[in-house]
Amino acid sequence: MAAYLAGRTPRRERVRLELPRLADNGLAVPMRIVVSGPFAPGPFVRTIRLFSEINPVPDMVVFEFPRPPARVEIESRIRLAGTQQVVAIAEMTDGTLFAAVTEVVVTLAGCMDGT
Amino acid sequence: MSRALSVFVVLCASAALAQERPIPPSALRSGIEFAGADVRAMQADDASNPGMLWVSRGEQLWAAAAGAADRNCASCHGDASVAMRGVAAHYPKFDAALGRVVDLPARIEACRRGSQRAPAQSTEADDVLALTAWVAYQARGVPIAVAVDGPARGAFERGRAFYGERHGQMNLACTQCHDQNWGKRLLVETISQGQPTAFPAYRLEWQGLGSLGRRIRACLFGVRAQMPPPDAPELTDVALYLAWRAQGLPLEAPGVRR
Amino acid sequence: MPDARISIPTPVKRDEPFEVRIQIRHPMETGYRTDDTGKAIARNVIRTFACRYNGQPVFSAQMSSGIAANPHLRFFLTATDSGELTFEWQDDAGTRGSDRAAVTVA
Repeated sequence: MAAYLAGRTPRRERVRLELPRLADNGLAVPMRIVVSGPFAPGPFVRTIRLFSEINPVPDMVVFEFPRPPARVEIESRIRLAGTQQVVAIAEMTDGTLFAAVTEVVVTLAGCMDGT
Repeated sequence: MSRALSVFVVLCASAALAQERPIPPSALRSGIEFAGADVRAMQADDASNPGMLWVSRGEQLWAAAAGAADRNCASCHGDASVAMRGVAAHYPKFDAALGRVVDLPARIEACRRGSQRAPAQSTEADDVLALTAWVAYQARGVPIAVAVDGPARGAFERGRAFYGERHGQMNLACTQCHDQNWGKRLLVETISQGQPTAFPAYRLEWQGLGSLGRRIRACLFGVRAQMPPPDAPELTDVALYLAWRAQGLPLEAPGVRR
Repeated sequence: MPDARISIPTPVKRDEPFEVRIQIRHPMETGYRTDDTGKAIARNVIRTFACRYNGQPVFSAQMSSGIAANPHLRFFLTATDSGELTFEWQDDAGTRGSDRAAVTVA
């Protein structure tokens, strides 16, 4: 993430990163990113990146908008290797960065599954 | 007079069986009621339910010619939404041709082998699971109702006994958690009643769809017992007992569980 | 065999955002799991995912093992004319998948 930021500081606004406070299972954690407008005309969202604090692969996903999106709301399911913070960074066409940080608690199952 | 007597005997028999139900019908609750909001949301919507990927695949397999006989399921059974409507809610059941009680995956695998002359597969093979999901989907919402008398009686009694016996290093019986302690916490999870209504189910822990047999094996692993192989008869015995115990609960397949 | 399920509303309102949902059957193998013999299972995840509307790229995702198995995506698009959405993806093993859905604009 530091390499991507290259010294820039994102503004902590306009991005909402929704994750459960306690994950049912770290293998599939529902995630929603919402970036509020205004958008085109004027700068619009070009990319949104998701970074993990402790996963072995910290760069989780990059969403790209080749054309100006009218509504930026994305849901998916992510894998989290343990309790950690997740960071979403939206980059606008004028280079401005907006970010949100959310913490998720990930526990082990009550019963181990050997199948 | 004798007709009244036989009615009286039948009523006594079913009453006796009813009295043995550890959870009364009005208190039966699907595992989805013990699940967190995220799992519930995933199951509630077919567009978010990953198990539906196996239902779609099963739909394709139903129409695809297979085996040395080069025929598809539809050539014998026709439209699944008609021929298979409600069928899954009555499994496990005694199969006269196979001479034993079988669960739905085993019945489907036997049909593939026997009628399509396809090579033998494990009941956990992906194609068998997909067809199980497709057939079970045709019984979504249908109340579970299985026969436990006649030729199914032996399997039912063995299943009930297995459910009440202690297993594994933890020396726990299924009934201790799922009849006596359902609703209580186990670490961060809430103990469910162990109902079979969601299966085959997409389990987040499996990252895929799996059968009730697999879930029972996982439970046995959880109490540190020797895990039986997928085709072990005791798994079907327990599944039959669970279905009897769940009588009246609607099938939810494909369910989503953590 | 279908690898994906797509859900979009029919019809959609001209120039108003509509919801696109897609689920893709893929194990998104992380490379950190081992099989029964203790041998590592090779990493194989979907890397590129692209959605086109009437041939124009409108949304894409570069994924990693951080995306859960059987990837699910929900996002919003707008359409002016009726046409077709195409979805294409490729994984580490080079296997490509694709699917499409008709868009009816009212």
